[in-house]
Amino acid sequence: MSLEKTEIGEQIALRLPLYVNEVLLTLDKKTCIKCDICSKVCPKEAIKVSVVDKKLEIEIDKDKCVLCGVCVPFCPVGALDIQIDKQSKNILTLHEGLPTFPEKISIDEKKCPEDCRKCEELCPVKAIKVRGPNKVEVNKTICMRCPVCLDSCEDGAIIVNPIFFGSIKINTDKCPEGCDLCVQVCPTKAIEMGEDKKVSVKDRYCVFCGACTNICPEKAIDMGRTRVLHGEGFSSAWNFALEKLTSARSVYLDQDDRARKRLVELIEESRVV
Amino acid sequence: MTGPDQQEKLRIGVFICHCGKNIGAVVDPAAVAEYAKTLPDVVFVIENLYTCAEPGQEEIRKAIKEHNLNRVVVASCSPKLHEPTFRRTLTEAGLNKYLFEMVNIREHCSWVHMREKEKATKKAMDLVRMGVAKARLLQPLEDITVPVKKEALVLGGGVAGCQAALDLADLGFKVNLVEKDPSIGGIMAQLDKTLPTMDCSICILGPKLVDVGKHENINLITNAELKSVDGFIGNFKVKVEVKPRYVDMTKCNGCGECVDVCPVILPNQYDMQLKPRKAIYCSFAQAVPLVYAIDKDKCIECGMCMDACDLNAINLDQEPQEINLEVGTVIVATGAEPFDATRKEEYGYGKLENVITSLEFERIICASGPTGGDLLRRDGGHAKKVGFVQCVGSRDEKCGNKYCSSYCCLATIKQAMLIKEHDPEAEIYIFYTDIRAFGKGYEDLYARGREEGLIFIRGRPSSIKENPKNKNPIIVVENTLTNELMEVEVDLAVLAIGLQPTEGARNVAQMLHIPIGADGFFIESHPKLKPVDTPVDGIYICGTSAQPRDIKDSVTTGSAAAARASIPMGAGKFSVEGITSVLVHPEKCTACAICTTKCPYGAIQVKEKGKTPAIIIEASCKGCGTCVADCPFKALDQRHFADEQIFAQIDAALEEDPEDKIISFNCNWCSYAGADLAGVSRFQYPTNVRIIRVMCSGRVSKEMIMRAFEKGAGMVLVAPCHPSDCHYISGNLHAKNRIDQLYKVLPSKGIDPRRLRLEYVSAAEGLVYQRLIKEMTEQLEEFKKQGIVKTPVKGG
Repeated sequence: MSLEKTEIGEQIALRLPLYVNEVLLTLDKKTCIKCDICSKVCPKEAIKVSVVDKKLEIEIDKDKCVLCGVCVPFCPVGALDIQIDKQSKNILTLHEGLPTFPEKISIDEKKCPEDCRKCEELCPVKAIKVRGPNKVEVNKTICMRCPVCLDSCEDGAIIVNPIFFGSIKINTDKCPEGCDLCVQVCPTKAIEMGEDKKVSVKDRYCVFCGACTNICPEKAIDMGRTRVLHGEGFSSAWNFALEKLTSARSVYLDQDDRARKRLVELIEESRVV
Repeated sequence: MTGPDQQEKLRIGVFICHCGKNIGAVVDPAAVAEYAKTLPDVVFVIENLYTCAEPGQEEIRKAIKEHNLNRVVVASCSPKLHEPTFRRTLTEAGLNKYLFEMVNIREHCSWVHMREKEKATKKAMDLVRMGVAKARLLQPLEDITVPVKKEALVLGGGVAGCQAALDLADLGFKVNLVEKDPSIGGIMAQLDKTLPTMDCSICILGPKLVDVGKHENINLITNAELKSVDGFIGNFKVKVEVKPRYVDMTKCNGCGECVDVCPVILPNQYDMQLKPRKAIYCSFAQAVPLVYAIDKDKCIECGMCMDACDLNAINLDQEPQEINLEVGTVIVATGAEPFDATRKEEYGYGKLENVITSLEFERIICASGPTGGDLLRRDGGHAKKVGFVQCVGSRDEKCGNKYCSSYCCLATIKQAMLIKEHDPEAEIYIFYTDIRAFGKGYEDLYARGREEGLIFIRGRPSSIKENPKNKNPIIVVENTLTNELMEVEVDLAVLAIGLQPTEGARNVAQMLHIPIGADGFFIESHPKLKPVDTPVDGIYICGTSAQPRDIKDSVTTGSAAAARASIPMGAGKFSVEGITSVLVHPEKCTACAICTTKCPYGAIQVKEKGKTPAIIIEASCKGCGTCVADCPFKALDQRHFADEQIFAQIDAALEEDPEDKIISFNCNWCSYAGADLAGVSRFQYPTNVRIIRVMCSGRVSKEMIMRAFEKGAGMVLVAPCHPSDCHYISGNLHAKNRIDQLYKVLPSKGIDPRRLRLEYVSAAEGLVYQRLIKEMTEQLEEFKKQGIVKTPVKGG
């Protein structure tokens, strides 16, 4: 029993049509940065990112997708959504089966100097718009959690919370001559082509999305996530996703963390005041 | 094995039956009787009007006593009808029942040669001569008695299976009820109301299901499938595989806390895919057992259900479990499937959103369904104008379902009346071919329907279109009573779908060795007199597995099957016919073990190849004779169908004008019955054929065929069951192999291979047999003209 798939314009829709109810998964391909996160966390391996004509394409297999919604909160740009009876709903997060992530960005508008637009100008995804004195609008959905705006603000008005920690290294000896595909796909513009015609990555601005590893034809990029910052909420779905994104060891450490937090809670609760 | 004792002199009695005018009007019984008197060893001949009736039977008993008969030949109808009757008569008169031979001069003679009275009478004489020839060589035999375990297997937990299980359990027998779905209930559990009384279906079924679940004599095995069946009546060894439901049945209490937290939403089969369920689910509220199950294929193993379950009932590591059962009888209640309406492309089901099936309608109109019982369309609008299309997938040659599904006429009227109950202003059209109101109360509901203003239009719609503006279905039909072409636009079109055999039916049939008819449903032993038996002793069929039925007939046949099954189980024993294989010449047996490769029942065994002679396990021997025919050293023979006996029949058949004769070896289960059916149906064919009955075509040896040709037979026909339909599983395959080998050898013996035919004829193919004999007779005439079949020079 598979879902109905429609592709209208830049949107893929997978629909489970019942008689009066409806479950609908949508993927906005225009917003999608073709990173490797959703394809890794999907428990049914229903999502595939592939390279077609030197461009990244994303596909969802309607026979494998079960509309569980694991992918939705993980998408860094909110390109995925599941609607149950025309209302956005995620059963897993509702029942705390997946943890919340820290807030992407918060700007203390009171600290903004007059006529300052540095964050707006420098934001690589154009998520920030300065509307007026002390009036800053942020499109939190497409914000990539990179510290570009944070670094640009001399007044300390911006707090940005990344969620991935890890390492990235480009083995430029593997690069084909003149190839700059990774530069093109990086959403935070963290990779640039140097004057020596070699690409290099500014570690600080890498958000570990994995788009560059997807497109590199020579597998020249070593990108690994070691930790994921997250809030409360847990299930085996989370463990599975975490292991796919990072490593088994990281999952072990995450469990350890969690156990420690719980222990502290229990001690606090049992303290006689 | 050969002939009577030296001391005993043969005293054969021959009883010629008129069968009223059935035989008497075509065959001259007096002439046949006169002829019988001339046969050696025949000491008593009499004609009867109806030999099977009590006076006729009394004649036989009297004759046996008064004339000291030691062999009895009755020339009348098919042994498949009355052989057991007459065998009982012999037993009552103190004679061994196997000293009886029946000659078929009705189905195989008077009924098929109605316009050739002289030739038919001559043929009847030949047949009597053949019967007496065999009777001379018959030996007394004893039946084998096997013990019967007082435990049964019921396959299928629909209403028929549940009824059968409850009846058997109430009788005191242990019952194992195996159901493939996680819950019992079947299709009846999906219905809203039953007809004609408009009872709430699940309300009347629910208590039955609970009774099944609670009964101390019923072992309910759900989410399980039949894997294999070995053995025979009284002692079936059954393997069942229980598929894991990943929920511990001893712990789950059906509370449903797991459902809310499961993130995977799927369509619910119980609601015909119209309502959602989760990956962990219970089909419906009244399920028995009330235990959840996980659709592991779709489950993402997030573990949310495990966290939510206070009773720790979820186990994602559950493995399939194999259960071994030993039962005395098996009742097949595997049901049927709704017709797949996408096969009727012209009705647009699956493409047009407001064309639904009657079973989907049943779920929609039901209060526990997707709309809470409101007659809504997919777009949420109320359906005020509804059109019902009858006979979808039934009475339809194009779909391959020629049969009528019986319940749909009244089911539609019931559904229409439900709509009227909800909405008296609704406009309802019923497009019918006939209205079959055969059951009790059916005609009343039909009359009420007409009073309520249901509009009946006689015509089979040719197609359903769609109004693009509002997605209304438009039903295109010719009103055959007014001869006008109509296009009726409705809010909702309901296709009254019939039933078709389940996907697994063939598999079950093969495991149990029970036959399937041309329509794909299981066949009963006799359509009138044995409606729930199968040709395999100890296995019974009921419910819609045998034919489309309404609930009442399903329940009736369920009880009937239980009653039939309780006969051998109650007696605790069962007699197996004594017509088994026997090692007559152990000195000839070289332990080559070829026989063991021919027996599908493991009934003949050679412990050490080349050393120990073959041993026959009589209780397992079904009496097909295949091992006998293939024994290269002629060490084996079959009781009651001995080589000598069959040779005697062949010789007797070909005593006069052999070149005109077609010797036809017909197997008891298929071609003999097929020839009977030709007789019952009065399909006429030429008189050249002389049928010799064997239990299985596998019994027909190369020697028998060569004997027929050596005695001058014009043609020889071996008529097995169709491949994969052999009552003894593989007898027909071995027969074919043997004959293929014989074809290669025939030319060197001066016999044109075209004179030997192997043609498959099933019990349902009376017409095929008729056409075959007509064709072969024509061919024989040609062969005689061309000198391929030589007419021996007469005289001199």
